[in-house]
Amino acid sequence: MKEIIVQTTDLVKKFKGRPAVKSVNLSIEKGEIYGFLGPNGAGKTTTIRMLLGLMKPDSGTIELFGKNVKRSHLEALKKIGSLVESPSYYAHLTARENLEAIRKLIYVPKSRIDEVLSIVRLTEDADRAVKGYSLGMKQRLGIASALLGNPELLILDEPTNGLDPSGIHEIRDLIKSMPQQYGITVLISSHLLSEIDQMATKVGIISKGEMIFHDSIEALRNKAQTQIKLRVENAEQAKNLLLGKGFVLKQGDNALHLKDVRDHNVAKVINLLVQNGIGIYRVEEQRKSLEEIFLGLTDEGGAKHAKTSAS
Amino acid sequence: MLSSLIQTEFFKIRKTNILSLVFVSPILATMVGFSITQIEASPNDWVTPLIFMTFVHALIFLPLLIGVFSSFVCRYEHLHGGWKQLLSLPVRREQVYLAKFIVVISMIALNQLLFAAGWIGIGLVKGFSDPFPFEVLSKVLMGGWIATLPLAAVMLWVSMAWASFAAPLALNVIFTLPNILIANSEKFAPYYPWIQPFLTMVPPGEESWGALFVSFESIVFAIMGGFIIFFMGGLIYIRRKTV
Ligand SMILES: Nc1ncnc2c1ncn2[C@@H]1O[C@H](COP(=O)(O)OP(=O)(O)O)[C@@H](O)[C@H]1O
Ligand SMILES: [Mg+2]
Repeated sequence: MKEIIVQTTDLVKKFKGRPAVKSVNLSIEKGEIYGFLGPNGAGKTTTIRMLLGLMKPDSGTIELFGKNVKRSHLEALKKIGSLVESPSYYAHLTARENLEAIRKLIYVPKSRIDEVLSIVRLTEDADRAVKGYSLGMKQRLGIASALLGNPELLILDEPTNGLDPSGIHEIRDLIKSMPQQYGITVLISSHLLSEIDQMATKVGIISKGEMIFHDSIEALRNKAQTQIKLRVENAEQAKNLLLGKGFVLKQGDNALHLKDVRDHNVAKVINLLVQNGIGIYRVEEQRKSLEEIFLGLTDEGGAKHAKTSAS
Repeated sequence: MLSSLIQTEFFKIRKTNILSLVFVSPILATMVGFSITQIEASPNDWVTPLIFMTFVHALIFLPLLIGVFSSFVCRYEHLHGGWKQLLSLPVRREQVYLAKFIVVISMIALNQLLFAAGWIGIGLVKGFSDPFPFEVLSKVLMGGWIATLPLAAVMLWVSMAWASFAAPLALNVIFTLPNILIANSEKFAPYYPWIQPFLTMVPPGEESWGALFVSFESIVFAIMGGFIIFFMGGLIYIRRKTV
């Protein structure tokens, strides 16, 4: 079995009695890109803060690199580079000085500053005060800071926030190259499935503080159900007819949705409709997108999904 | 580790103007000390300017400055997520507090040195003939500085806890202003931390000139007690701080 880099057991965090994280179990293997997915307010940042020791869990345990960090995070933090929520920086200093302020504390050679600046393409602006930076540039600086110490584990909390599409693309390619090039394990959070989909090897979905899915991205895809959508002349009559014959279907969206998509089943249904003189306008196969699965899984998204499919 | 943290703190304030504040009260005090005419009964030429200078410097300015420095070394951590970045690096939280504390008291030490330099400068320019009271100098410098430690500890604690730059300063003003009244109160003065720098620096009367300026209780209770309580409070606070 591969080495487990991050392992949490029944992690709980409450704010004034309200649970923000309920019994979260994460398990991340070495070399993985773990996509930590969930809508806003789901508890991603809170979980990440606990992983970094910025906040203490109310209960549950955290193991990083195989060691319980309850007593001290110090050893684990030596091997972690992180970016939590909005980027952190000293506005009155330049990007280079910001990195130098960190470098003094993590003992890497000065040349590493130029390396990370070039990785995030900030070399040209490196000697300008950060207060004049755009959000995207600050985000890049945050990523550079996270990379500075050659971490074994990179924790990035919504790192593409505020980046333009080309910036998102660059960061995505960068993150994807991490495990192969440097053997880095990556934990990346996002509220957008599309983002995680394109880089993650494993996905954990959190909603309202609870982990509701924890597996490979393929396994998530397999949850995609296909249906046959039938638009017919008289939906009400057709429904009663088919239900009477024992077919499983739902009416909605001005059409009938057939659950059993096997060829012989579809053939039977169509045959029956034709025999009863019900006109068939459309027969379509419908596959839920990954995004819809995600939205369906998370409650908040569930409502949104209902709205979009009704329109 | 601690030395790197101290270096980083100085690195972060290097490009700001904060250090220029250490000149303000020594310059004002020196101007006052210079313009004053000698008190006839004074046992030593050097005494008169020191008394007046101490009133200017130690009663109000010095305690206020401690608040400004403490709040300043936390300000850039509060502004744009500095705390969460700093505390997710492999650093000991206690040492983060200690490093900031050392930076604050170093700036205060510089402030004291400039004050002493002003005092000596007055004597040299005016050509005082009495022998220079070295013992008094060390007490003014060291005593005054040690008396600021509890204030630095408590102001740093408050500044870490409050994200606002102005709030700790306002609190400090509220506790500093009563100094003017408390300085005259034999009952309260020994126990009031904000007055201790003044008490340790000013000679209370002719008889005790050159002797210990502050009573024993004052040093033990207010300075040591205050320092221990406030410093421990700051340490415990940063250990538990949620960011
Ligand atoms: N410091 C805090 N005090 C009180 N409530 C908080 C605090 N931080 C987060 N929360 C609450 O906890 C929940 C989870 O927040 P968060 O972890 O930031 O979610 P996410 O990062 O997934 O968007 C939210 O309901 C949020 O309002
Ligand atoms: Mg978040």
